[in-house]
Amino acid sequence: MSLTLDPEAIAAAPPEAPRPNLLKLLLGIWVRPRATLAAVAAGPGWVWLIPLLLAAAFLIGRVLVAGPLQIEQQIAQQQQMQEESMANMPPEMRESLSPEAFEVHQPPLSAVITLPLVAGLAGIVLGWLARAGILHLGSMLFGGRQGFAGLYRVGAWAGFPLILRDAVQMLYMRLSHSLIEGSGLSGLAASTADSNLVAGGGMVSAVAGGGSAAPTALSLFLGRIDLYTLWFLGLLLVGLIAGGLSRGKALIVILFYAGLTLLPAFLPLLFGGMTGGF
Amino acid sequence: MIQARGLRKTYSMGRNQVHALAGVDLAVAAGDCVAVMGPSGSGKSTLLNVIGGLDRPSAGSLQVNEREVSQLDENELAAYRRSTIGFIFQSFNLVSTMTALQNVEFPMMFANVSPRQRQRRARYLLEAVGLKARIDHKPTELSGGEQQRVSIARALSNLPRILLADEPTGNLDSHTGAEIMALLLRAQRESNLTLLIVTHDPAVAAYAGRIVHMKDGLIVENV
Ligand SMILES: Nc1ncnc2c1ncn2[C@@H]1O[C@H](COP(=O)(O)OP(=O)(O)OP(=O)(O)O)[C@@H](O)[C@H]1O
Ligand SMILES: [Mg+2]
Repeated sequence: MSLTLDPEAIAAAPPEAPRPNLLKLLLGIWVRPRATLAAVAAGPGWVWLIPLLLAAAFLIGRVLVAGPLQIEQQIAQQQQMQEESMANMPPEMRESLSPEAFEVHQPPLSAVITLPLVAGLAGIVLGWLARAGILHLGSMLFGGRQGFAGLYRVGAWAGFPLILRDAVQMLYMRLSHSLIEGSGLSGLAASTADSNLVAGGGMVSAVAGGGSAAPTALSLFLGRIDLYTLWFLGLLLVGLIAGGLSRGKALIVILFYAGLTLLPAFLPLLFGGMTGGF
Repeated sequence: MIQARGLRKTYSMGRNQVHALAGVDLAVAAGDCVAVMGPSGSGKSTLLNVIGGLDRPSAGSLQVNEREVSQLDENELAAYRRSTIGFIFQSFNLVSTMTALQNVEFPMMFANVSPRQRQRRARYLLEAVGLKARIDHKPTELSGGEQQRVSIARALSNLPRILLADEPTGNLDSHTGAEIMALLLRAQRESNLTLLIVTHDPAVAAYAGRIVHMKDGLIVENV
């Protein structure tokens, strides 16, 4: 109760929340998540545009870097397959083949760039709305009082680790000139020595690797979860708690949300199990 | 600041006439805190309502800031209520469908305060009365003491010169009542308000610099 009830002060009524300092928020989300998410929840409506722009930018960047790499990889795979089949082919048969048979088919750009871009951007727009809806519903069920818009902003800002993941992956692919194999914590399920995936790849992680080995249920599950996702979920939790929900209730809402978003990863698994294979 | 002379308020109930105010003489200086006590039906609320421009006197003169309130037309009276008076009631009188913030903003909507300024000021006031964390709560989600804090914030929203409180602690336990009194006195001091408090509670009256006793529509003792 430090504010005075002096009429001049009342009339001047400085806004109770100081104007958010964008730089402070952008720094704070990493080091002081609770206070930052509280400020974001209370803050002006436009603060969600910042993570949106960054998320879109890094999504585009990642797709643009990954696209050509995927094309290269597919061409290399085709060439390898051709070479293998040629090697097993009697020379007279090989010579009877037309030149077209030796051509490598270049996958269309749309498959590796346009489609992932459209899907990714639509995922941001719809996914963020759905996320705010789920959080709002969940927190309301527990008597929380955060509004949809506030939770939308909190969700957008809690998603910074995911943006960081896109950025790290983009940089990794750019520098190493190779796609990221073995996603998320799936390395944990690997029986062999490539457990270094967790330590090394784990920080990069989580693009569908495109490995041809049939994924186990566990590796598929872990593939959906990586350190960034856990970080993101942790921030969401902190955001809900900062919004006034008790720890336990916030945790239930987050688990509910995580369950819902992981569900799509399990559906093909269940389906595959029923029809007897992938 | 407030100067009542021979103030009368008569209600006609069929043939009967109730003299709620039967010729009240009262002078209150700016910045004073006056407690009004007296038995039920003695005219305390009526006096407050007349001073606050909620009711018109039947006879007599009421001057507030050198203006004759009884002569004001409807529009002027409304403006007087808005700009000069802040009301606080025993039953809080908050709008149950509105949040604390909206309740405090509400009177400002009739005083040409811009929406932006309304919100800022309401937030400021709610924080100043210690309800920062309750801004989005509806009255049913607030304790009695908290509701009364909201109504104090609301009463102060249009920067009144006079605060009229009709049994502000009547629905509160003594501890909460003391807190509300402390808040009212703080508002009076910091806003340099003239404060009139109707109360049955001698402990509440003891906060006031002066106690006025009423009986049968008259002031019988002026301490
Ligand atoms: N609108 C009205 N119509 C008719 N009579 C009224 C009206 N308002 C008040 N009265 C009468 O005027 C008298 C004074 O009422 P008032 O409400 O001022 O008393 P009070 O001192 O505030 O009492 P309490 O302590 O019970 O609140 C009472 O006899 C009451 O019945
Ligand atoms: Mg009364």
